[in-house]
Amino acid sequence: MGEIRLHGRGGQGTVMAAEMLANAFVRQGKYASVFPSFGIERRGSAVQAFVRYGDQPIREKTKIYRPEMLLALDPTLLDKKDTYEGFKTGGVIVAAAKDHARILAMGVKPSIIGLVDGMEIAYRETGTNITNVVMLGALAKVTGLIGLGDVTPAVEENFSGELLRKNLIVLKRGHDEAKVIKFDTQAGDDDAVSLFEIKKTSCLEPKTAVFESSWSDCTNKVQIIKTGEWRFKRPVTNKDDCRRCGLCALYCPVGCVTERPSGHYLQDYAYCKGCGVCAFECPAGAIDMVLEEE
Amino acid sequence: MDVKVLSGNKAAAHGVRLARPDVIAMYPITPQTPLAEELAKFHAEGLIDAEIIEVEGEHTAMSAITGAAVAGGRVFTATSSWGLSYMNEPFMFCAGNRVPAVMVNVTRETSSLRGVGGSRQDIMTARDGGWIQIEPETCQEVLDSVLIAYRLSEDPRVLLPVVVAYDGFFLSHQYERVEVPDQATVDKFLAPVSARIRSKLDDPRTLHFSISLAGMDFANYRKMALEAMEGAKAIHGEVEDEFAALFGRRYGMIDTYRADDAEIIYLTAGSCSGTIRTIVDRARNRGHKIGLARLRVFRPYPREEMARVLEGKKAVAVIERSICLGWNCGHLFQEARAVLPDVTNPPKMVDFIDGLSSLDITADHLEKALAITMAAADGQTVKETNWLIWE
Repeated sequence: MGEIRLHGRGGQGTVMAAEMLANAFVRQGKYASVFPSFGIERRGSAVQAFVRYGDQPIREKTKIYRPEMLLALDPTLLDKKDTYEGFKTGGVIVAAAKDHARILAMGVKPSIIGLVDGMEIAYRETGTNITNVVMLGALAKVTGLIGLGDVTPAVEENFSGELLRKNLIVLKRGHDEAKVIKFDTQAGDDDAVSLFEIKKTSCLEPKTAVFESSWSDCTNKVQIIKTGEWRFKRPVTNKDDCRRCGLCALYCPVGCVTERPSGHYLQDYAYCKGCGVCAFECPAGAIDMVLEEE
Repeated sequence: MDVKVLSGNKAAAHGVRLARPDVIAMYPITPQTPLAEELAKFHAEGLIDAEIIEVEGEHTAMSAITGAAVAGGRVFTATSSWGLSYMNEPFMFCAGNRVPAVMVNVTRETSSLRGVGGSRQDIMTARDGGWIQIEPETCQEVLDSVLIAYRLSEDPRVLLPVVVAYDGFFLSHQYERVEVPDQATVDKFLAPVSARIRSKLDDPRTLHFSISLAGMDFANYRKMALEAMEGAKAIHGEVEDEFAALFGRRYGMIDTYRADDAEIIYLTAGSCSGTIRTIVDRARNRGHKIGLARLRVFRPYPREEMARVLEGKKAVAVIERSICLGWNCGHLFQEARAVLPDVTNPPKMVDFIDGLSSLDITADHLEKALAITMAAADGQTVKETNWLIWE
């Protein structure tokens, strides 16, 4: 059985990519399963999906903790430790990125890295950051596990009309433009430990006590999420054009735009999700949405 | 037959489609929503010829299908968590009146802090509602169980509603290879109950629905319900035999894996059973006599069969996704423990709580549970109830 872990951001079609991948495997006569992670299911938040495939029915119903293959749909995730958690030595990484130095800098030892500038292709062909179909094309080229002939019907099942036409273009571009970089790394034996043979008579207890009721003082216990990292485009206010009317602050759905001493209204990038509502509403057209990577 | 990649929710929708229901009444709720959407889509595409009632809540959904079933229809509803709580009154009423109905409960937490996470807490709080309760392990089994549910529920010897309760997220949103049977074979499987004599609204003799009974008459009626539930065990076997003859799959009330000669078994229900099967194989390869018993039909509880399964075992690792407050354990443990007087040499039983609020029951957790249970089998002292969650 093979295990592939997909990393993307909410809205990039990570789970749909996983489904199409499973469809492609089943079309080959194999068994496959797909399971998405469930965090905060919002546009821009980090999302994972887990694909298993094999010649026998897939029995596991868990997340994938020791993947031999990673498919990264978003370049901003490549600098995060979580992306590589449990990655097996000698495995394969296929990423929407331009260079592989940043991947190796994270301390992983793959045997193959496949790269394609997924963001550029998606943005140019579809005007979005939805890289899922691009990356399926790249995966097909880099691993050879599935052919474009297996993926194409899965893409056709999910899209129609103009969207289908564009997705078939990005599928082919992802495939044709993917670069394959090989390393002299042998597969490691990561599954050697049998945990049922360890000496153990009790389970660990939780480390910190949470508040005993939700109506007690829980000031220090609430979880604050830095939603700023969900963003792929940031609003940039041109202070010369800004009329200091504050409409952007009024419309901001997360309330992250505040008045500054200069009288300008500016976004707090720690929380701004990059939704673009402020740019849309600004009567002076003073706010531009700029791609994060640039 | 058609091979598709389907989630548990979509597999359930195909099961419902193939059963040709007359009335569907649903209110969407996480993680059941994709099932409601898929059925609405089938309806819009003309793939099901059912009346879909868009209700304002689950209380009405259950009331509507109960009424439709009494009027002779084949019915369906589906919910989760608070939805199941909200329909509790007509849920009891439906079973109490011996109304044949089929529903899906996509299991989820039912306790506060507003969690939408999966667990088995919701269905376990409804375990005494009088419904037959089936708990699948795979998406294929979700589809199959919906079909079996109709056959069982509408059998004149049973006449009890059936709930197919599958794990929220871990099955409802898990996509797998599923064999979708063809309509003709399903029609053949359901033919005995499809041809049953149904009540009709225009028959004045059946207008006394919701008749009031008191005292000994009431007690007599309850005794009959109890006996119908007991009788459903044998009828479930008959139905499964016919299902296997047509579709080639048989699950049992307790589905065992390498358990016959095992010294230690896992006891669990639902989706984590698959992960356990792989661990059983790994442990067997290392020379340990390990097996699995998966409780598939929780109501009626297969007491006699459970006693046979537990006989001769040294220890049992119970893995569960719900907690029984006031018993300091989970529900599977509590009920299996009640069978021990029927076992000649009762095994040591160790309970493991895991997978609450959509937490993963990981292979590592399950292997550690086995390590602790092996220690218990060797006579070492271990706690009766253990929480794997922080491992």
